[in-house]
Amino acid sequence: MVVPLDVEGLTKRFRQGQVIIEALRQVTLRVEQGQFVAVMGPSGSGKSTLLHLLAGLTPPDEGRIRVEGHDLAGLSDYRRTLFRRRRIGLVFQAFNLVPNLTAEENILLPALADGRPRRELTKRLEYLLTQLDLQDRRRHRPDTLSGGEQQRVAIARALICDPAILLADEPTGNLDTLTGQNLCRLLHQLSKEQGRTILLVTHEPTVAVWADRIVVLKDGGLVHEFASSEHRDPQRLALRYQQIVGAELAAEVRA
Amino acid sequence: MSLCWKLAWSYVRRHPLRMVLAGLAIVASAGMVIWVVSRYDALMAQLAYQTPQYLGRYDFFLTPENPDTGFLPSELVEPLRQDPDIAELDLGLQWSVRVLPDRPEGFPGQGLGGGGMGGFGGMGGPGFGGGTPGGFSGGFSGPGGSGGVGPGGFREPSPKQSPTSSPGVGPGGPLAGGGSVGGTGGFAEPSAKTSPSGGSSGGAIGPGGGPGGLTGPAGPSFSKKGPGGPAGPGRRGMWFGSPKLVGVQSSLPPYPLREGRWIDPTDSRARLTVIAQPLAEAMQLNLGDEVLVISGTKEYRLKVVGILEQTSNAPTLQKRSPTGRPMLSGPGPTLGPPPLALYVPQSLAEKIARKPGQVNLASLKLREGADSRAFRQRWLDRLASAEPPLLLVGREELRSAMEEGMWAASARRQAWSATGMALLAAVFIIFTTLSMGVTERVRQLAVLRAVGLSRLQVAGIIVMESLLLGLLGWAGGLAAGWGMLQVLAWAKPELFDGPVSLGTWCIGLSGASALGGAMLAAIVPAWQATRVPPGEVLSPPAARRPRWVWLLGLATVGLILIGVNPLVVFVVRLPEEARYDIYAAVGCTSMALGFLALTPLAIVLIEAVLGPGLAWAFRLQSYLLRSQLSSHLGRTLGTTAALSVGLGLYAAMMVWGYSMLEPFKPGDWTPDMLVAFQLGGLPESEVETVRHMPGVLADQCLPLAVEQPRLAEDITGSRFGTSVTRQDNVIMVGVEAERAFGGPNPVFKLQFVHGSAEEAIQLFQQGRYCIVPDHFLTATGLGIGDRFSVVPPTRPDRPVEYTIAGAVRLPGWHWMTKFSGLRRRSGRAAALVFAPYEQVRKDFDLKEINFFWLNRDKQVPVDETGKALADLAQRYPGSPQPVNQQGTWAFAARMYGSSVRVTLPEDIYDRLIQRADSMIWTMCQLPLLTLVVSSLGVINTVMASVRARRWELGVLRSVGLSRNGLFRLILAEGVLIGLAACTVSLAFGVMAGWCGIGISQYVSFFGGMETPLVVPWTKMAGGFGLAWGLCLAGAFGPAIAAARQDPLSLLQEGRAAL
Repeated sequence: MVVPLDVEGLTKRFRQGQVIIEALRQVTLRVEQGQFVAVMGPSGSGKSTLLHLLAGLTPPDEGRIRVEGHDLAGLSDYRRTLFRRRRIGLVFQAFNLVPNLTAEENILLPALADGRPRRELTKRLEYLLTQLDLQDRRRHRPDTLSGGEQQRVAIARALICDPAILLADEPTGNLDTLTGQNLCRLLHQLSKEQGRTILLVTHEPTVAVWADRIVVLKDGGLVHEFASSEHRDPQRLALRYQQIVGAELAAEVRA
Repeated sequence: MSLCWKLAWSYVRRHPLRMVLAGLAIVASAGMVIWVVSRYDALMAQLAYQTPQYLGRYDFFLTPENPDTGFLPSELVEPLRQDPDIAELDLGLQWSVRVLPDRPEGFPGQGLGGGGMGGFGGMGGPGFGGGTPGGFSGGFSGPGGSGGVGPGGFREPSPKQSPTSSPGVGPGGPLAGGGSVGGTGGFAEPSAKTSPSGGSSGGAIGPGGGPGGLTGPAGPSFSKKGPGGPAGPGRRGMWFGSPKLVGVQSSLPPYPLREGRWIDPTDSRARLTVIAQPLAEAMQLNLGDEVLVISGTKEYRLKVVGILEQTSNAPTLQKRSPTGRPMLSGPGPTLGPPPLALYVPQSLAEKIARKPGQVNLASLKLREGADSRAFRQRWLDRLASAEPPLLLVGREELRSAMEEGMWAASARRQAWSATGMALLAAVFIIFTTLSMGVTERVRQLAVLRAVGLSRLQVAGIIVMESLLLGLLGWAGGLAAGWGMLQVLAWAKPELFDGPVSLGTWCIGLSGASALGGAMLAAIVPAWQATRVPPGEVLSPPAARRPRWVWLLGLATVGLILIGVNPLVVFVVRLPEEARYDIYAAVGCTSMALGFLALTPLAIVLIEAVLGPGLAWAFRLQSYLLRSQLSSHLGRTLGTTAALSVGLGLYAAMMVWGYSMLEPFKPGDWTPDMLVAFQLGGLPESEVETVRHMPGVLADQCLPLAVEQPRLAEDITGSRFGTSVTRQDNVIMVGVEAERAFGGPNPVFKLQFVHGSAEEAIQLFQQGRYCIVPDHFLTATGLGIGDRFSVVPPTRPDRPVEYTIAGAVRLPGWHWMTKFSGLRRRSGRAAALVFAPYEQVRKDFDLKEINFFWLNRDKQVPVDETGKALADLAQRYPGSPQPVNQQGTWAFAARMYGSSVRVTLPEDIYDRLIQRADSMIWTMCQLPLLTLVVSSLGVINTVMASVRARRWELGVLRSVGLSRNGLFRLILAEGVLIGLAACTVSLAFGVMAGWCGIGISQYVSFFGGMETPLVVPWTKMAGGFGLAWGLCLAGAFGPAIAAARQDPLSLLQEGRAAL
């Protein structure tokens, strides 16, 4: 079976004035089919940069990104766009729904951009609306939806083309605790029941605990990985995370 | 595509006000096009029925290229008659005559026409050297059409012929070459090649004007009485054009009879005539009236027995030089019967014209069912190669001539001008709207890219929005234009012949301006949209300040581009015929692009330099205005450019117009009064009498010896195209040199550019020396000491040679001589030349004194002097003096009695300035209208600026800025945009005007004079004030809306947008 996500030696640099910053440094990561992976790390660790690269929003400076066996780094901008449209689902912290479109229209956006006729998508649309409990809100515009509803629309949009992997950037960041937990439960269900491969960026242990595996980044590098089953309790997970990050800090201090 | 359309439509629905404002502006600009172009459509529609109208009963006219001098070869007559397709062949002679109403109150000098005693020429007057002496082509004069260059023919335009044929109705105007600045009697510009911005507007400055096709008088701006002075008896309203006698052989009239009956063509003794309707109107003749027809020295009294329904719209043959200047000094001959026709039996016409057996007009009627094309094909070459060459003029040729005639050409130029301006305005308005949309939607565009829309699809959204604006604008413009025409038809039904409809040109050109503008405008914003990286979705948008290196680089490119036009006009040696085309295609285009490239830097600098002052004026902290424009350069650039389209052209028209006027304004050299005795003349002994008349300064009174001889050689190059300085004759004015130029108080205060007064006085004593205007040297290439020959009208076989003793500046000499009577032989002259008094009298056989130039005692009323002169004139009655017909127009000078004609520089100046102001104002209407349309874009820009800064404004309100302060801040931004537009427009206007002056020297009929660059600051202030005011008004609404919001809602809305 083709691995949904296979990253090797990924590096990304940015220029800030005269200084070159390595936002990501030799990151290697592999996500199997149906896995739910959370990427954690302190601010500036490179989490968002990793997501940008995995989504094909920007090309890496070094390394390889294979999504379903396709090397994104070697694709042109146009090809990357097509690939992102068809095989990658993106969910953002700020929802990023198009305000002029209804919930239904937002969901269909990537598929329509692909030129697929509406009648072909009806069944899929209905399925997603039902699954995400959006049937009654389908004709509402984003400014009349709650945060949770908006994020569910965003997830539906990300799933309309049946992507190989779902990438989510702090999806609960703009939600209250309860709504956020409901969202995580939903993602967990998608992963377990549908075999969706999900990679989620978060700094919240209460979110990461829903993942199967947690990857910790620090200063652009992957410092540790562990299975969340080792720490089912969010508090213990948080402690573990702090230990990892703290150990790194201590090692730095010693060095 | 449907997705792009859907997203575009959804955005439009979300921002209806912005789209409505932009759409309104496009509607207005499309409506403007329709308003102007409807005139052209109407004209084209009229031509369709005027062509057969002009042909009347016939299918073809046959005429020599120059009927004044050429006649049909007799060997062609019989073969024509024998042609199986010919049903009728009517041979006739058309000949220019002078016509006077034969009424008790009538008096010589107040009729129409030329070719009379002394042989002055109107159309068709005998050519010089043949027949009656002194027949130059008469320089057909028509006042330029200030807004009224319509198909009115030789009379006040028929209101029915064009919706914009009278001034003040619609912005038609002489924008594209219709008008001439220069007071009454100005001409429509014969060439479009005089505009400062490359053909988009014309207007000609100066007296007398274009030959060329048809000129329609402006009509209402003329008064029928001359200024001041007692009007002489029997004065008629002025008219333009030269009447012609037309001999006929047919017993049927060529056109329907309006009144009366046709003449018996076999009875020449009855002395009856049928006249054309235009002539009847011009001279207010009715059935039963009698007219005096004067040809040579003979007079014939004819009785009017019929009036023909003949169109005034008679196309003429017009030849142009490769530079666009007319080849003839006057309009070309008509291609058939003239509008001012008197029909008489052919034998009578031959007798009156003293041309027995001569024919120069044949009217051909084909038999029923004949193929006119085949006939034309059969005869065209043969007739064209005859000696002289003959023109076979049928429906096609007439239509083509009418379409190329001045009215049609002027209307067409105006149509293109309006379209061009509307297109540019639309481009910048839509560009600004779209650009603002892209900037505000960066995040949204990034989301679309992130979820999988390609660059092309994102660009497609912008293009769809643009197309929507264009379509709405076009449809709305059509509706608005049609509505305006309906209103006009209701208010002034006499302007329309039939139901109002939008013609092909209206629909096409308005579509071109709206949709074309939309497509062009979408290019950059669509490209901007494709540059939004999908990664932008994960980071907040940052306000970008322009980088100085880009601004300076762009400005450098802009300056280089701007420099191309002056190089083309003033520096680079180019063939004359190519210069204008290069100027228009390369020079003007690069200049426009150059200013566009310079505008970003201009905006930044104006903000930096004027912002603090403006902040002070609005009682604001200067930092608040520091980067309002420059941080969103795209929308500011678009709005400034949109405003500058109209304002810049306005400034250019003003600069060009008033600069071109300058050499025609009477200068300080002119004495106070020019007197002409038009009947008879005074003996030498009465010079002292004149000197001691009330109001005359005795030592400042000069008798003049005046003649207008032809130049023996074409030293001015008039054969290759005529102009105000390139003609085939000069006005020789003989003066007593010492009194004229010498001493501390000469009569003529001349400024010598070559030579001096002292040298000239000395040389004058030696014989045939002369002083010429400076432009004469430029036109001829002659210098001091060089000679030229002139041909005395009374002794054409013995030319006389004069040596140039000096050259002077003579601004305004055209206008001083035009109506004064100094132009004895022709309506045009290349120069006013001063020569020794006695020498001129001797060379040109001038026995009596007919002219005085004098300075007067200003304490004495002019009328007192005039009356004294009139009394003196009565003691010396005599024959009418030769004079070009403009020298007989009652309104154009002050008449005292029937003989004395007085020309005052101040009268000329007032009339000239009044006319110039009117003409230039008319030329500026369309640009100003474009400005008003574009100002709608200011509202959009300020609204977008407010929306983008809601959070910032909320913070300002929270920390203490009052509502009033916020209101003033938004207003100040609008004013800053206006200042940017004014600055850029002024610079553009001066440069374009300057280059326009330069190119006019080569291609304009009014070029060739030493033209200074004049920037009419006070006159321009109105337009710039309007721009400024519109910007202030545009900012008003958004300012009020922003000021009314409370701080919290500003903060919340702003944060949500972030």
